[in-house]
Amino acid sequence: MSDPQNKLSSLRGLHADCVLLKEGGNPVVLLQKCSFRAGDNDVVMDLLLHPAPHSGYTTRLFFERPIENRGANWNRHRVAEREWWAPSWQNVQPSLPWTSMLCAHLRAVA
Amino acid sequence: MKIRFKITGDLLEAIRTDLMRPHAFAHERIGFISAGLSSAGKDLIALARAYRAVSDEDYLNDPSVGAMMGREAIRKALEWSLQAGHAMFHVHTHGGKGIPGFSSLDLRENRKFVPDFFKVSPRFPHGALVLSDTAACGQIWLGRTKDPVAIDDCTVVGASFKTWGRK
Amino acid sequence: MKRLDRQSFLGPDSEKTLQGLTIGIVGLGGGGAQYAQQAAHIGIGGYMLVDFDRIDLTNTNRLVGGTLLDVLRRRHKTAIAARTIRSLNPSARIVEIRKSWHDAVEALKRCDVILGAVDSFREREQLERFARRNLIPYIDVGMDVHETQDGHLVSGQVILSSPGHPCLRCYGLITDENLAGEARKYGAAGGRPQVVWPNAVLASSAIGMLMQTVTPWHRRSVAFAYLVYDGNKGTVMPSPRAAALANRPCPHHPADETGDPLFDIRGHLAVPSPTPRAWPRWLGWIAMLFGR
Repeated sequence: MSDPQNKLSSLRGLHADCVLLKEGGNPVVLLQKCSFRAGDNDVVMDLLLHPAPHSGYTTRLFFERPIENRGANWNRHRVAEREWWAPSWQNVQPSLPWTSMLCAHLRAVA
Repeated sequence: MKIRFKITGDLLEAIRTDLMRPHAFAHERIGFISAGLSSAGKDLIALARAYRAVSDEDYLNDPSVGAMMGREAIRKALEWSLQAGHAMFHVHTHGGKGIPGFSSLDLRENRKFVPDFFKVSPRFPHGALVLSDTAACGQIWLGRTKDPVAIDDCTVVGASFKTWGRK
Repeated sequence: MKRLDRQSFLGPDSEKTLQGLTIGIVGLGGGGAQYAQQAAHIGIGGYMLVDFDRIDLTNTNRLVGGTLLDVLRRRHKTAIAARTIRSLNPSARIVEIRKSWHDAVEALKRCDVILGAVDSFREREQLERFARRNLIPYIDVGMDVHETQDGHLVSGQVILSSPGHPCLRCYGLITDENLAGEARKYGAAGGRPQVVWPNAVLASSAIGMLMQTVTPWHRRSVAFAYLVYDGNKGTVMPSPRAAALANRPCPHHPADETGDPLFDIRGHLAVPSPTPRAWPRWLGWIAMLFGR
């Protein structure tokens, strides 16, 4: 099993509905209808984890839509032929396991 | 619904060069083009990715036709489509100039194997292209049990931009 | 005598080819307005004009076709470009999209070539990636003014990014460093210096590249190009980087990444076509009154 496939298997332990895609030769992971906590609210939306440098950040987590009153400096991006939003949230390192990476990024909207 | 097929000039040139190679007994060579798909409203755009020639040993010796591929050729193409997630287009050339057309034999044979690609890659449409030395045309199946429809236009991008079939 | 007679050296079919072409222009500011003007003069027939912005007073130092009356009327930049195009080609097929290009992707997919005049590295990179995934050649221009010991340096570049060939990253225009620099400013390009004559030089060079691709006038084919503009020396020269990359495939846009990775023909066929709009009855009566 390839390294991205191994990492994807671990991520599926957190969220079963994950799809491995590719962008610019890098693996990216679509988490469909992922539920997470944002402030006092439970949110369900698609997320896209980009475990390599993107748009000046070491790694990125993209959200289906911006979350009001959570995160800062939301900007729009087109990744894997779909529109996404991401807040400013730096220094989540690409060396992290994808499970930790996802959790670290979700702290931006916690 | 309009259906377009787009390919880079470099890939098309490589395909033409390969299809012109002589074979020990077949009069024509054949291969497969993999493609991704995109939509613009209701319209479809097939976007060529790569080409694989049918291996020399995978031709059947049938003098009554230009080229006949055996089961192994189809199996390899099916496997490629399944493993990498591609739409597949059978391709061969009639040579000559101008916009080519499928022969009645081409149309009959295409019907026999193109729908099988839906068994391994039901997400994508699949089809066939025929080339001349200067142009291309194609047909596409949008589902396993559907009749094929003509690709409305083929476009080459790269050092030169050309489009055939556009009205 | 016909309007395009003086460009017959472009070939006997050039007029038909150009009329049949559709170009996307993303950003109708200083660079994009120049693209639109030149494309209209040369006879290009189809346009997707994409910009969400309206003209303001500070644009008038470079936005060709824009007037002080347009500023007073707060006219959309796309409308100014459309007016310029129609004044030369009344039968041009023009679609104005007064939104971000992110909201215009369905229209841009129908383009034969996309010409970008966007402000940020991030938008350039994503627009180029969109073009690559859809096998659309992308032409990018940019200019800058830098402070130097001698005063200022006016510089810029034009890049033709064709699928399979070197991209903006290959050429070093887009780097993780300059993206990180932008990210530190939260993506705001800011009011950078912009003047009309470099925009004109760069847009003209870009249109020349486009023309050589669609109606070539010499045999040296151009699949990719990187021209560097030095406004102080008055030169536009091929970048040596382009020659160095000549036979190297682009690693940033793999060939197997064309198209939508989640495309599903079954879903595509299941989406209903939009139903024709039901006009109100009173409108039908008015139409009857006027015999239509």
